[in-house]
Amino acid sequence: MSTNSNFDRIAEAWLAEGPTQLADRVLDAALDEVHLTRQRRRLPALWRFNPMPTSVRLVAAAVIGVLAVGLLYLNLPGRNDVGGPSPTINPLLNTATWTAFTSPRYGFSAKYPASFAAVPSELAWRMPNASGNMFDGFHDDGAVKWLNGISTLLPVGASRDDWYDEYRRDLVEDEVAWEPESCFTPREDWSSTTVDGLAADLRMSCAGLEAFVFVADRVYMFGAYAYDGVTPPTLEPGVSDELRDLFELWLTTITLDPTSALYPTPVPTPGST
Amino acid sequence: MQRALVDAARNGDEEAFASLARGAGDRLLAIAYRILRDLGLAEDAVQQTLVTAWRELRSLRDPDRFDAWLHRLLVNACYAELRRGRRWALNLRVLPADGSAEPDPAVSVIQRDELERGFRRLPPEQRSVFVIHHYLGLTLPETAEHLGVPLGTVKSRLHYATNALRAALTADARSAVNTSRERMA
Repeated sequence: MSTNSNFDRIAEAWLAEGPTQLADRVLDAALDEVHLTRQRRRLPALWRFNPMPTSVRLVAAAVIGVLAVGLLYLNLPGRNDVGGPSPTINPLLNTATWTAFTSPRYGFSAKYPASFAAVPSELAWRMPNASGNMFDGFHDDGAVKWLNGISTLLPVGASRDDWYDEYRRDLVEDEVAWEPESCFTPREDWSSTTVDGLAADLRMSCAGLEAFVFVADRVYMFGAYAYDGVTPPTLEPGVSDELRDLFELWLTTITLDPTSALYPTPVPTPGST
Repeated sequence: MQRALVDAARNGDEEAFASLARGAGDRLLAIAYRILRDLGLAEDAVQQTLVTAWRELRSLRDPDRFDAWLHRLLVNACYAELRRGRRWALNLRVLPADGSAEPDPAVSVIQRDELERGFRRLPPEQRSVFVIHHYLGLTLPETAEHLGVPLGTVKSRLHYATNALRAALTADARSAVNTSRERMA
């Protein structure tokens, strides 16, 4: 093993061994499934290719604005007789029916949809190596849509950027990668939101959205995911409008209380009993 | 020819997609097996890749990059299979292999065993770089394109993978020397 070429020769000979033909049954099964699968439509980003001159766009915007004001006027109280039927509220998005939840260890409380089930965390989050049973989670009937809440202490001396770097490493470089690298958008592409009145960084991945809030020495992460555990998510970050709406609404129900967080368990000082 | 098939498949032509799948199937299986080291998992990854490719084909911007795009889907399907394989590690399946390449006499049984063990210890991302570069014979920039990661990342992962496998073989060589000394003593 003293030379690169010797190693390459052995490694390539070893890699050449093994199956090289796909069984017909596998191809047939895939094509059967293809037959039942609809191609996803890729909607063009119309605004990027819109050839309309700026003046025309301004006029169009003004017309839309006037129409919007007119519609608002028609729907004012007392004028419902001329407006259309009042919009129906998606039961999932009606927080009045949601159930209250207080985290047993992470220092937050929230509400979750009545049709969801709550799965409190079983272990404290110690980065790296987050696993499913470390989250306070809420899921729909099929356990496809998840809302997760979790928090941990910021290591002493670590900056917010340090923590994000560690988090990224944990996700995309762990031995068993949780998500493809292409799903972890660069920090400059993240947006922002608020949680309990505090500024939060918002990251979109291929399977969901995550909001991060730093409070004193603690970092909270709240996420919404749509993942069946089998089908790999798409390779480009993006989520459905439905999941985004659910997530944004969920964030409004969250109250942070770092002082009630149980983690970390006090570590006995040396010599104490 | 392939571009015409990709264009047709993007417009919903299942026959065109079936032709593409038949053309790529063997290569996909060979790559997936070499990353996953498990035929059942590799077949699942290929099947999932083909279905995902069909579903997402309209998101492929450049039809001439179909192969690279397909390889990227496959590698991500392999990562997913490794996750599932780890979760359900006891769910082993033994299926007959179709068309296996014969063992190369240039690789000793001990070397094969050490490479296999060393490779299985590699993270999925290092496995995929190693296989795409060495098995497909792609250059490092091509490997980066096929995996959708920066060139520097490819170099780094290949470096770590190579070092780990070389170390596995070196340990094997030392072990063999020690064994022969013990026998002579």
